[in-house]
Amino acid sequence: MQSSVQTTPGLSKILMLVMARDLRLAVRHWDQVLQPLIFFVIVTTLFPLAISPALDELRKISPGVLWVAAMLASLLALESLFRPDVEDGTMEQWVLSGQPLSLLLLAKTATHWLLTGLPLVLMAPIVGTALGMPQSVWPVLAGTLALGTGSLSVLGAIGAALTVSVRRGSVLLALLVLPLEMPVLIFGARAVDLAMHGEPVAGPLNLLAALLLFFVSLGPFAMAAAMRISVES
Amino acid sequence: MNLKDVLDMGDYGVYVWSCYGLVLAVLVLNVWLGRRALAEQVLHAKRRVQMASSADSLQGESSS
Amino acid sequence: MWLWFHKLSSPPYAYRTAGLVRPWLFWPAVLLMAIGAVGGLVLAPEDYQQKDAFRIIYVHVPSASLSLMIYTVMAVAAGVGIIWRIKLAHAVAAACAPIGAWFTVATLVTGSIYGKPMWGTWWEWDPRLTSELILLFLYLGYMALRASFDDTQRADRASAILAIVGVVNVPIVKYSVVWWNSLHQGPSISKLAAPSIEGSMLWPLLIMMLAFVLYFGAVLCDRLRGEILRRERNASWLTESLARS
Repeated sequence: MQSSVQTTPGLSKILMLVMARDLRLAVRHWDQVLQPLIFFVIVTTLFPLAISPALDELRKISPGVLWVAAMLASLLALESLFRPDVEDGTMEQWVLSGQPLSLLLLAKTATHWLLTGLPLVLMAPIVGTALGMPQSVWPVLAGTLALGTGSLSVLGAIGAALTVSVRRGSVLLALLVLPLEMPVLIFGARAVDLAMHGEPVAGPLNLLAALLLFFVSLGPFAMAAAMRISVES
Repeated sequence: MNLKDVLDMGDYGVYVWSCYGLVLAVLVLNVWLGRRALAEQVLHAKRRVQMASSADSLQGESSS
Repeated sequence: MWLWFHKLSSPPYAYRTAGLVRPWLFWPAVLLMAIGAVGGLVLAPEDYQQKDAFRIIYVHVPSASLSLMIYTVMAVAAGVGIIWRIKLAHAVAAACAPIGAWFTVATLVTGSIYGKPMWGTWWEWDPRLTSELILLFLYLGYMALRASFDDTQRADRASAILAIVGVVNVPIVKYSVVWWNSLHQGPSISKLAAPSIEGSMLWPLLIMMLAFVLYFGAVLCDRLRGEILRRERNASWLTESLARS
């Protein structure tokens, strides 16, 4: 790699700066980071109220409930992924900056996952216990959510980049993204379900990891193309 | 095989014929929707052309 | 060949060609559908297991394969449009979506009616029907995204990206749904397509499938011409060709 006189910082430095900036912004607006997490807890609370307080019944549906709630919470969090930057013009500068937009957006999405996906992963075992989930399932639950919410973040970011310039785009975003996310839901919820029955979970876990790799490697290009369309006017 | 057998379909007539009817309806509907969309655009285009030509002739009169 | 392709991608030429080709697709489609319907309803022997109810597959299977085929055509057209910046390809993609959505609906409803005598319920979470349902969601999302932009060019490019992401996802969805279903029940329940089918039962099905493809071509011609007119509202060739007609 031949590096001439570096007037601009290297790419890895830029990506670090992008992530650091988003983390700093998140610390400043910590209440917005908390909102999807609170939403997750509230949605899971609805199920015992709607179905039955009996833990035996809740235990059966708990993997599905946790996964659907996590999916909706990550969907809700997407609203704050690109919109502020597009509205204040930062994104336009990025598009024009000549740096690989796909990597910039991937860095942004990764930061977003740290702020919205990771809390869900940590919170889910606690909520799961309240739904009667045995402690032995905790590692599998956290593992599937860690892999799965990563995929959800990437797919969601593509949808968010497509709809960011649309007025009242949040319902549209759900309509676009949820069907694409269904395989992740299937593998994730089923792995937790298998673990609860004491069956091997390597298969679905591997599939989730493969999906994550696939989406992370190809998704950023779709994000960048979508963002270029949304930003140019 | 007589007509009654074909209509009855061995007690499955309701299911079979409703499916065929439904698919036929979708087929006809799509032709109609396509034709209507085209006719609408042709109408719009013709109207635009007419307006453009009348505007041209008006201009021609005023200049002469 | 390349020259022909280039010529075809010019709106006036495509507009005229679509108009000329349409009857050659439409009337053979009608004829073949009539033959296929007679073959399927009368000539084909009844299935030893499903009796006469299996005759539904002569409309159900062609609808299902057409719904998938149209999605593929749409995504390929969208890809061509976005890579080579061919406006006509975007018009093709836009014209495909509503037709595909309608055939997905037809597949779902006929599958459900087929399920009633076969499974005893109107809806079974069978992998084929479930993935067809997800396909319908993909079509609806595509059309909703397209409708949410005022500017046609932005609508074209944004929805093209969605179509491409969607078509990459379709095999994953399909696989995941089959996997999901196989954990719950044996594969024996999905009888929607007979694994081995006799010749006397098969030929009406093949004719029907061909007829549906031709029919799609004919409807696509109409829709495409409408799209071209909508997009080329200020072009000069339009004035000339309308003045002549």
